[in-house]
Amino acid sequence: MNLWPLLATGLVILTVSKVNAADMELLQPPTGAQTSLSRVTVDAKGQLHLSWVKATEELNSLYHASLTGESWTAPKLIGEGEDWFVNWADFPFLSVNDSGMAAHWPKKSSSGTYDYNVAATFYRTETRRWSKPRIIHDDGVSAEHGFVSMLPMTEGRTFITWLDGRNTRSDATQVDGHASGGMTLRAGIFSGEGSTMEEWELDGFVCDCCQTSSAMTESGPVVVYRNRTEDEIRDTYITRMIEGRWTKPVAVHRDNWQVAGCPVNGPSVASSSGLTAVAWFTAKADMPKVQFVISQDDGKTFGDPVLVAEESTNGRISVGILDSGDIAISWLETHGTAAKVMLTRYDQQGKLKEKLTIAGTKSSRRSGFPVIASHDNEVYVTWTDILGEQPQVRVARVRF
Amino acid sequence: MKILLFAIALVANVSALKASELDDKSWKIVNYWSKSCAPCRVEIPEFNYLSRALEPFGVMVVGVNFDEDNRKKTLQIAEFMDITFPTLTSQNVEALNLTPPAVLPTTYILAPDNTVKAKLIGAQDRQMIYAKLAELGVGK
Repeated sequence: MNLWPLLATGLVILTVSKVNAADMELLQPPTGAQTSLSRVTVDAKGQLHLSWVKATEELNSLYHASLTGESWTAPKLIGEGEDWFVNWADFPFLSVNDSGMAAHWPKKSSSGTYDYNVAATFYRTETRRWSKPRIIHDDGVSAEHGFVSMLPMTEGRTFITWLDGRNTRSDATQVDGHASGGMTLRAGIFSGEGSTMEEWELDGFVCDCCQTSSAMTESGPVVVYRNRTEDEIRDTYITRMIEGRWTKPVAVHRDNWQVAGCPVNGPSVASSSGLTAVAWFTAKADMPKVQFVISQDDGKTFGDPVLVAEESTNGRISVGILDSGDIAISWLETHGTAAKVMLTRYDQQGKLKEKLTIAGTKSSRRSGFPVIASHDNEVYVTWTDILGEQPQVRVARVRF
Repeated sequence: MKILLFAIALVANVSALKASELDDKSWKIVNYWSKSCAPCRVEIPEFNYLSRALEPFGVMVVGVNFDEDNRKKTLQIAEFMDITFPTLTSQNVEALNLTPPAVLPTTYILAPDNTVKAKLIGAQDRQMIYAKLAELGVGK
């Protein structure tokens, strides 16, 4: 049954359906048409926040709304511009901390280039205003900077990680489109006002076009990303901050996927109560797979990989951890041009508990990357539905 | 027909192929590109060259915008990227029944009946394409 025409009813909750042991509700977000590139995040108080982009021919606008009880707040504009470099894989991030928010968008360095920067803005609850956007990296190099992830920290701070192409312009000799310096992974901690408090290079040679992901473990922040070796092995790596120092990056599992190209399909990490889970897409030997691993020691070591999906998937994964300790993973199941947003739940030993179909969509890049966020034993899922030429943000809530 | 296709190739940044023109007797080199893919941008001049060089031998070079922007935007990006071979419409791609690749850049080589004969992952140059065509017996 196609439920989306019921949107016109104006109800926040469109329908509730029982799927296995879970209740799934289709929520009506206050987004409207021509919207896409959505994310959900849950703050420390358990409130859900939704961000999305409304695009016209010339203008991109980033909006935010939160779910209070069963009602959405009115959409608030975070920022807009005619010079954004947003696309289906590299799009704005929203993070909510104890005294404000942070958001970013990719901003072109100048017209006529492929270069872009990470522009971020910071919101203080006490002033109720977003700051003037600033470029968070100070290299001043016209290159590619993007694929951001953010983590809320205490005292209004935000941890931000991004891919930084500053070294790709350090040598005129290009190899396969990449200068010898290669793409780097960087991270920093930013104050509530947006000033840089600390900044690091976490890895000097990583895959160019895959999303980064970060999580706060009980030992400190961890960052996962798609690495790149000299012989083009592009496996998922993790680095951890332990007592103020970043550990040497290591593979969460050695797929040994050798590929001289961009998968445009980054990993996802979540951590809660001593449990850390990393999910990723791989396609060694042209065999697509979604897998995940579990760590009981804040990402220091991982168990064997658990297969989530293979063959009929193009990845685009997101992971969350429930209060029960169960692990939720979303991914796209593909059948030609059609796709399904899938949600699977595993216990802490990696045993499958449930596999749900959230919605049908298109395997098209225009359907973007579904994103999940968890709170208590609920999982919120957001994705983009394609109705003709009209993209439309969707949100569902699954109660386990 | 060949003259027509050659003319199309020269003005590809403002033109589109009709679905029927993909049903001819040509081998096809189908290159997936994206504006945000650095190695894609490196190999574009090679495919521009190949589109001109291979056309007399019954081999067409065509492109697909991996990002699936609308047609107007796709053609603007193709022009910006100096792509001079035809960029397929979504209907063209659907007719070819190609699976979108998991990695960029990816280039498919299709036989005249549109069966996939090769899937080349990573940036290609003219020598690599020549070698693969020779391996497939194209032009013999």
